[in-house]
Amino acid sequence: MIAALRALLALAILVGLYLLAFLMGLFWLAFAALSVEVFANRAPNAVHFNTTGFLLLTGTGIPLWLLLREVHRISQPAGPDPDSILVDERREPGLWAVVRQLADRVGTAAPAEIRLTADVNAAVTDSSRLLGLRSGYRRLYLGAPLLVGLAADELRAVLAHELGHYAGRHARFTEPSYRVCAALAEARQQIHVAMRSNGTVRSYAGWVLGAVGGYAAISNRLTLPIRRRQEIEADRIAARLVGPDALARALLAIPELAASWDTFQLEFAEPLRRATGRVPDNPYRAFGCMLDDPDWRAVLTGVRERALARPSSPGDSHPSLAVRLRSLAAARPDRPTEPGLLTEPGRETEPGRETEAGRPTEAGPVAEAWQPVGVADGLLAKPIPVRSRLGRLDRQPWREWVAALAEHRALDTLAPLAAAAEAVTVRATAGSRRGRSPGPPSLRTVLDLLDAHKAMELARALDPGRPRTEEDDRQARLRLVAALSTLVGHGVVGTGSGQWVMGWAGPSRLVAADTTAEQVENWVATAVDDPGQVSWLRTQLASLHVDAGALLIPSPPGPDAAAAATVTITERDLRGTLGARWRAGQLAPALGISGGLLAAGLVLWVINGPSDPVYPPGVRTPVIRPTPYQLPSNLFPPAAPGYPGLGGTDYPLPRYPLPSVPLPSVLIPSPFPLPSR
Amino acid sequence: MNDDVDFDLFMRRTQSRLLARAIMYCGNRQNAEDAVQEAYIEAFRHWSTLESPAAWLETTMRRRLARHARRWWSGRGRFELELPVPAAATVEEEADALAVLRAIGQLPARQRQVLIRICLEGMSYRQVADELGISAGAVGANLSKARAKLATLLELDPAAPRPGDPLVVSPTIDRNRPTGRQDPLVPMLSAAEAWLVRGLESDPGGLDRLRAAVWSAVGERRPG
Repeated sequence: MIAALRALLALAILVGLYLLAFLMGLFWLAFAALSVEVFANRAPNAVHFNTTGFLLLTGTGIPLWLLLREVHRISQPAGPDPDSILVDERREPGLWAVVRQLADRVGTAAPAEIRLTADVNAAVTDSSRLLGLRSGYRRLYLGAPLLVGLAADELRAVLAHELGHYAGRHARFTEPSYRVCAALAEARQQIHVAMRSNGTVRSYAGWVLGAVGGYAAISNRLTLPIRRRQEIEADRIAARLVGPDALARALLAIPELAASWDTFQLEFAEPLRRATGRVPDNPYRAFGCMLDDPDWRAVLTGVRERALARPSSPGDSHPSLAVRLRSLAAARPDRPTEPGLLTEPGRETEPGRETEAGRPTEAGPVAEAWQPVGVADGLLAKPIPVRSRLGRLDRQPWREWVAALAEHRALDTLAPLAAAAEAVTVRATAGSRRGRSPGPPSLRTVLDLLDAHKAMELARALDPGRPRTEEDDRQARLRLVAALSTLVGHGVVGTGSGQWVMGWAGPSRLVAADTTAEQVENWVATAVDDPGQVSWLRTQLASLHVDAGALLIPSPPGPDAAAAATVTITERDLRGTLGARWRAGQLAPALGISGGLLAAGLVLWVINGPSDPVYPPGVRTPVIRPTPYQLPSNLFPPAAPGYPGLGGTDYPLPRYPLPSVPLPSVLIPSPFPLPSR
Repeated sequence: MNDDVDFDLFMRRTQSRLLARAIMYCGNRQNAEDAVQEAYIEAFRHWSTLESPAAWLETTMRRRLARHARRWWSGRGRFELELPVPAAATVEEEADALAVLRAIGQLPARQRQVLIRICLEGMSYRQVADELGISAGAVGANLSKARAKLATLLELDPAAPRPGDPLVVSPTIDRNRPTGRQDPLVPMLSAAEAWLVRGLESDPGGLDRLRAAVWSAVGERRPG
C-alpha cells in the first residue's frame, strides 16, 4: 500500500515535469503567435517592424528547447554503465549462486545482469517501463574493491541490501524521481553552457532556469525523505537475512576501503605507471595485499570516526552513517541501541559464523562456501587508462608488479642523494683544474666523501635551503643515513641475494639472505658519524659482493629530447573554434527560431496587404493627420452674409424641437394646511 | 662558494614547480619565466639570511607577477603558452590538464589570482586580501565568480545523479570539508599543475636556460 502511494507520488512528480515543460512550450507558442501578429500588422507609415517579441522568444526558446530535449531523452530507459564489466554466469557461478539465493530469500527475482565497477559502492537499477510502473531490465552493480575488501558475510549483507531494494519495489519510486532529477540537472547544465556562448540566451534564460530550479527544489523536497526511508527499509531486510552486525561492519568498512582504494590508485599505481609504464594485470589482488598489511590498517585509524561524525546534507538521498547504524542496532532484539557497540572492528568474522543474535544466518551452504575474492581474478582493471604517448603499457602479473613497486619506491628516494653527491664533488674539485664532475656519482663517490669528512656537507645538500639549526642537522644526518642504507640495499638486491618488500604504510624494506636492514643501517650510521669506520663499511660491502665503484646512484632517467612534444595554447584556443562556439551557443536553433518567426511575420504581412489599423497593438505611433483640424460645420454653421458676426442678440440660433409626451397630472394633497389666500 | 652550490641545488630542486605555479598564475610562459628569474635573483641576494627560502621565493614570484600585471603594456594579460608534454602522460591526462589551463585562461586576472592563491596555495581570505590590497569580501566575491565560471567550463555543476539505489551516497570522506564532500576543483587544479611540472621537467633545456639566465644576471660563474 505504502509502496503504491509512493509510486503514485513519484509518478505525479514526473507527470508534473512533463506538464510543466508542455505548458511552458504552449505559452511560448502562444506568445510566438502574438509576436508574429504584431510584426505583420505594422502601421503603413511606421518606420520599423516590431521585433522585440522575436528577441525574447529566441532567448527563452533555446533553454526551453534544451529542457524539452532532456525531458524526452530521460523517458528512454538508460543503458548499462559504460565503465562496468559484465559478469558472465558461466565464468562466475559462485557469485551468481549467492545472488540468486539471496534474491529467493528476500522474495524477488534475481537481476538480469551483474556488472563489476571500480567504485567502492554497489547499486541496483531497474530500467522500468511505463513511467516506472512495470518492472523492466534489472542490473546489479558491484564494486570490485568490495569483493577484495569485505568478508563473505559482509558482502552478502551488501548484496542483500541491494536486493532488498527490489523486494521493497523501491525502483517504482526511485526510477521516476531519478528521471526528474536527472532531466532537471542535465537541462540546467546545458542551459548554463548555452548561456556562456550566446548573449541572447544569457539575457532571457533566467525565466526558464528559475522554473527548472524551482521544480527541482520541490521534487527534491518531496522525494529525498522517502528515498532515505527506503534505505532504512533495505537495511532492515538485509539485517533480517544476514544479521545486522554484518551489514553494520560492511557500512563501517566502506569509508576505509574508499580511502585505501584512493591511496592505492593515486600514490602507488599512478606514480609507477608514470615512471615505468607498468600496470598490474589484476590491481584488485594487489589492493588486497595492501589491505592485509597490518601497518596499513594502523594508518586507517580515525577514518571510521570521521565517517560516523559526518552529518548528512539536505541533498543526500541516504541517511548519515550514524543514523543507519542506530536503526540497525534497533533491529537487534538483544542489544541496547548504542551505535558504539557496532563500531568494534570485527572483520575477521568467519564466513559461516552464526550471527551474534544467536540464530544462524539464513543464507544457505552454497553462499557460505563461496569466497568473494576469486571473482576479481578473471576481470581486468578498467580504471587505469591504457593509452599513452609511450605506446602500449606494460601489463605485468600483479605479484611482479608489487615487487617492482617496492623497488621503485625504494630507489625513488635516491634522486636527491645523486644530486647532492654530484654537487658536493663539484664543490670539492672546484679548486683543482678539473672543473667538471668525473661521471655519474656511485656508491664509491659517497664513501670517498665520507672519508674526506664531508658527511655533514653531503647531508645538508640533500635538502638545500633549510635553516641551519642543531635539530636540522640531526634530521639531515638521519636523511643521509636512510638514503645511504637504501643505496647499499640496492647493491645487495643487485647481487641477487636480497629483494625489496613492499611497505604500504612506509618505505620499502630490504630482505636479504646474508644481512638485515637493521645491520646495514648500523654500518652506515657508524660510517657517517666516524670517517675512520668507512673502511669497515667497505669491508662489509666486499663481503656482501657489492662493488661500490660499479654501483651508480639511480636517478630518474633524463628525458630524450627527441620524444619531447609541445602543445600550444593561444588566445584563440581560449575562445574556442568557431564551430565549437556555434554548437555550444546553440546558434543554429537560435537562428532557426528567429529566422522562422521573421519569415512567418513577413509572409503574413505581405498577405495582409497594407492595413490601416488606427491603434495597432503594441505600437506607439503618433497619429499624423494630413489636414489641420476644422470645426464640424453642422454644429457651427458659418455666419450668414448679412449679419455682422457672432454675439448679436438677433442671431438665429438653430432650434431643435424636442418631442413632448403628454403626461397625466395628479394632484397630491398636502399634509400641511395651506395658508388661505 | 658553498652558498653557490647550495643555491644551484636549491634552484634545480624548486624551479620546475615554481615555474609551473607562475604559469598557472599568468598563463604566459615568457612572463612566468621573467618573474621566476627575478625571484631567484632576489633570493640569491638574500640567500644567507633567508629562513624559509621556498616560501619566500613563492611570495616574491607572486609579487613580481602582480606588479607585471599592473603595467599598462601588459594589456589584458595575453594568454600564450607553448608547453612541453610529459612523455609518460596519458591522452586523458593531457586533455584534462589542457582543459583546466584553457578554463583558467578565460578568467579575468584578478579572479585567477584569488582562485589559485586559495585553491592551490591554501591561503586564507585574510592573507589573500592583504597581499592583493583588496577587502576580504572582494576575495570571496572573486572566488565565487571564478568557481561559477569554472564549474560551467569544466562541467563541474552538480552532475546528474547516477541511476538506481546505491549502497552509500559517496564512499570517500574529505576531512577538510564539514559536509564530507570533495571539492572537485582542487584536485583538478593540482593535477593540471602536476602535469605542467612533469612537462617542464621533461624539457631540461628550458630549465637550464632559466638557471643560466639567473647566474649571468647575478654575475657569478655558474657552479657545475
